[in-house]
Amino acid sequence: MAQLPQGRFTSYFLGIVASLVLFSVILEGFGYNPIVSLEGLVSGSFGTPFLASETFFLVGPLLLAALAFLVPFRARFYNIGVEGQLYIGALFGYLAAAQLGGVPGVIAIPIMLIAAAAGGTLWLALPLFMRIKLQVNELFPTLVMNFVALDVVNWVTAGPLKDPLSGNLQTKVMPQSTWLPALVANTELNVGIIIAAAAVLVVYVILYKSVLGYEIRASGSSPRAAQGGGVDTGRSILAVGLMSGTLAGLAGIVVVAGVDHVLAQNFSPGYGYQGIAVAALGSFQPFGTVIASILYSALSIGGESLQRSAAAVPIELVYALQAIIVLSVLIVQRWIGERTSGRR
Amino acid sequence: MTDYGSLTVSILAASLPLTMPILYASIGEVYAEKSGVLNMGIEGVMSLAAFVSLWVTYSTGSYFYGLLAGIGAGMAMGLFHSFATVKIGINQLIAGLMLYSLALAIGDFGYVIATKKVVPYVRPLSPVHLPVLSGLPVIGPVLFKQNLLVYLSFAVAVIMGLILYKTTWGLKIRAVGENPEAADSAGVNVNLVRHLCVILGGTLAGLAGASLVLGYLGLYATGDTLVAGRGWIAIVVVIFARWSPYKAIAGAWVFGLGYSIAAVFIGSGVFSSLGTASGYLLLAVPYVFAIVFILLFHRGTKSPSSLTVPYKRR
Amino acid sequence: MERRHAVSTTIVAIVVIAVLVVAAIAIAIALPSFASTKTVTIVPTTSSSTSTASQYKLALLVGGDVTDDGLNDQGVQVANWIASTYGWTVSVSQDVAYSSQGALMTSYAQQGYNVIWADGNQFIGTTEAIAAQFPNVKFIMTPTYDGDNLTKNVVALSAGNQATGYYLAGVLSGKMTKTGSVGVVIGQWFTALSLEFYAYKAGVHSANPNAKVYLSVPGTWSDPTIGNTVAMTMINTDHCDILVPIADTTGLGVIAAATTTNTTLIGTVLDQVVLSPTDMMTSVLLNMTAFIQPVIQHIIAGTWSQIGGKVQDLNLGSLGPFHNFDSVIPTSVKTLLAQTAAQMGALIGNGTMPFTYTPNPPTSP
Repeated sequence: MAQLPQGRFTSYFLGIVASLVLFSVILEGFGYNPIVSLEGLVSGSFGTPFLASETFFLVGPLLLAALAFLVPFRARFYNIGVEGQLYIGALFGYLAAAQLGGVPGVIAIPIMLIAAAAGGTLWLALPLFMRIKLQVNELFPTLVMNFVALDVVNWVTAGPLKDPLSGNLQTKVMPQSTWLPALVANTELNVGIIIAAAAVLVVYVILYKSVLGYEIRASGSSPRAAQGGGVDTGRSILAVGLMSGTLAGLAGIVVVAGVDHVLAQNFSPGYGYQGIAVAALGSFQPFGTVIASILYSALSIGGESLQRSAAAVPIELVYALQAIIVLSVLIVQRWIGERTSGRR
Repeated sequence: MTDYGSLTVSILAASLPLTMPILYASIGEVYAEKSGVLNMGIEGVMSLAAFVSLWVTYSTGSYFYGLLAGIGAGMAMGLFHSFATVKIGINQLIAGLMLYSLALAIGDFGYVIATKKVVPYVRPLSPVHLPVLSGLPVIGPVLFKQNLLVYLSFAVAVIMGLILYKTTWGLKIRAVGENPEAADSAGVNVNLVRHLCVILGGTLAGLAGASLVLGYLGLYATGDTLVAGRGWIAIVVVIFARWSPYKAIAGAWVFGLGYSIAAVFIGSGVFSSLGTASGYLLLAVPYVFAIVFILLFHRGTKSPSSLTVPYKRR
Repeated sequence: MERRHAVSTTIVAIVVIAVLVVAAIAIAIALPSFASTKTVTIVPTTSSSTSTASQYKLALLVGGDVTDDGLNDQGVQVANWIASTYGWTVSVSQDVAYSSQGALMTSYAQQGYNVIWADGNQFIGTTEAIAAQFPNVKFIMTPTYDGDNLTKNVVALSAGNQATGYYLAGVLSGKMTKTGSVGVVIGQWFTALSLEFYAYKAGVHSANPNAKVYLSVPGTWSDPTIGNTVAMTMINTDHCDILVPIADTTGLGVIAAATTTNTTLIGTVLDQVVLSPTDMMTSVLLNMTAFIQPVIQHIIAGTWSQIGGKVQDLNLGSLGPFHNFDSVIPTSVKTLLAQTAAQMGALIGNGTMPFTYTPNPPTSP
């Protein structure tokens, strides 16, 4: 079962269509032209080379965050702390980068990435421990640690690491050697998307082509049966936890080192939570998530363009559409699945 | 020369309106989760209800209609969530998180459209000074000079606790959450109970959002800066309080108090010698406290057995 | 048992439906005021391309939106004024997140916008960087700039441009406070903003040497709750009876707290009386048009080089109308304010009205 099973494509497609229809009805109700708006979304995300670069740039952190949620989800470990982990990952990555002033990029960047991965994983360590050793549901600690992470980064960027010369609450600029190289000049599209693509492949190989991956998926689909078959579910959870923290940390550093080049307050507009939506939209499959992240990113970028255009559709409607699409796909898939399979 | 006594009274008094929305929302979530359904979206529901209640109060001049509209908005969101999770049966965690985004976006959208004409503000409900009690030293100004919605939140918590533990309804809810098969055999309509509990959860989240506006700030701000995480805190409080409405009072108050301490210290400049940034660390304290608490007392923290598991009649 | 179950279900169902219906009615009553307007944020050019003014495209970026009745709202108003007065094409981007600043400015520059106006101190760093990349695009930076990193295609407004207004507000506060304590709430402490604070403080002390000026820095511009709590503390513990919020959305919480306790307020940037009709004594106005209009005229006349790369040092602050406080403020105070305003040049010259910068806020009143 490597790809989306056949029958589910239809219901997935129907879900998308249903959400677009609903969106059009809402647009019409508020006096906006649906055709113009939808066309504006498309042209606003891919219409010019710059806009396309923006769309693909955004795919980087979204895809990494989505993978960070997807991997543990397969083992029934619900890491909703990706947002906090990406902040701490970015913090660790920044701290490493700040020390790597004169070091050439070929060495500095990998070190920075490893530091970021370590940061993200560290932030997941406590919830992991609580789940594996204490059987405490991970939803609570991961959620709470999101807030702590935000407060820590807010403190750091406003206090000890604040750049005294800048008016903003941010750190000093990172050494140039640690900046993720841009893929296209004068755009924000950078190596981050390559990192994300590599991560997809690694996740795919691990999940579907390795024994560990088999154990992970078995733990997720029926834990008791898996344990009966000799699978150590605790080990699976540890494994997905390490992967998840790494991916989340990378998501954070990709934004900070790829675009901002400083660690600033609130640098993430909720990538951690958006990643969950993207993973769900991708049916929790690595390659499906790639497509989902492009779609989701296109909606975000297209929505911003649409808001600025003559049609002036408020971007909040597009945010609503992003949620509606996920819900629609899930509901339609489940509803059709129930009716056709006759399974109870 | 800082007047620490007056500072303490300030902290305590400010903690109650901060506790109010958290408490309403967490009671609702207790009921939903006790019946076996997780609703992670109450942050968004609160935001939407806040906007609706603000707009209706502003347009009609009636706090009553505004409150009712906010509650109704929450109820509608609860209905949607129960449809998606109980009727259709999609993953409850994802459904809740998407509900958060959706409700938030709807509320913000409404505000954007509404503010093209005018920016709505309402005067929050005035404090009610309870006759004799508010004159008491120290606790008087803290406990007895709050507005109706604050008092109501505590009343609701107690009443909902009584219902949950002392009535047959409550018994059915708890049975459904612990052992749906057994409850089904005993003649309880499991899914109906869940529908009602989730709707109730949404309703109380709606009340929470309305209380933020009508009973505290009188305004709306987009981008989730109004509810500012209190919906998520309510979910945390449910676990913190071991799914007990009574303990939720204490749990919600821990967070209300924590925020109040941090904000009052920031406001009074007491810690300013530590640097203005130290305020952020102060804000993290209640969360750290919550984690430490659960670490220490994890043994007593067991969720309802069927939480997040959809039920299908065999 | 079945029947009782059925009855209680019915009752609940009735209640649910009743509440939903009443809620729907309430929303429906409120709905006509929604009346979907098609207000667009772009003012399209007139189709005639012979008009030279319509070849100009201006983009405005603000970090908040019109709902703040303050800086962001003002920016949008002035931008629309430019569109209607000069016929320019104007695009307004509100609620610009920090992470989107660079991409947004680049996007505008590449779409052929000749002027990009960043209204908000959080844009400073990004504007400096993007302006360097697009030397043919003109950039405007407001409300305050205290750096020295302007390329030739940027013009900025100096820090402290409202300082004179705040000094006057301080004089007024010093005279009107009954408790002898007044409070200022600033969202985040920028060195550039410190001018306004110290000017206010000097004004208070010139009118009332024993008065205390409390300061609170919540650290965020977007959290009304902390604004509210901080304000309540200043009111209850520090006994401030006049509050000056300079804190955007956080300031809205301050205003809410003041309104519920009948504490007097002084607004900022625009006449903010609508935010608190009963308690807003005055506002410190920022005459943004007095800065923008000459800039626009220079652009049209082709004389940008006279202002490009320079920081405009202007005094744009003044006191707004007193509205409901007009009868409350004694004539003697009004006279004093008028005299002080007239003497402002001399006061600045002899240091009475200070231009003090500090990177960190003071720790005691």
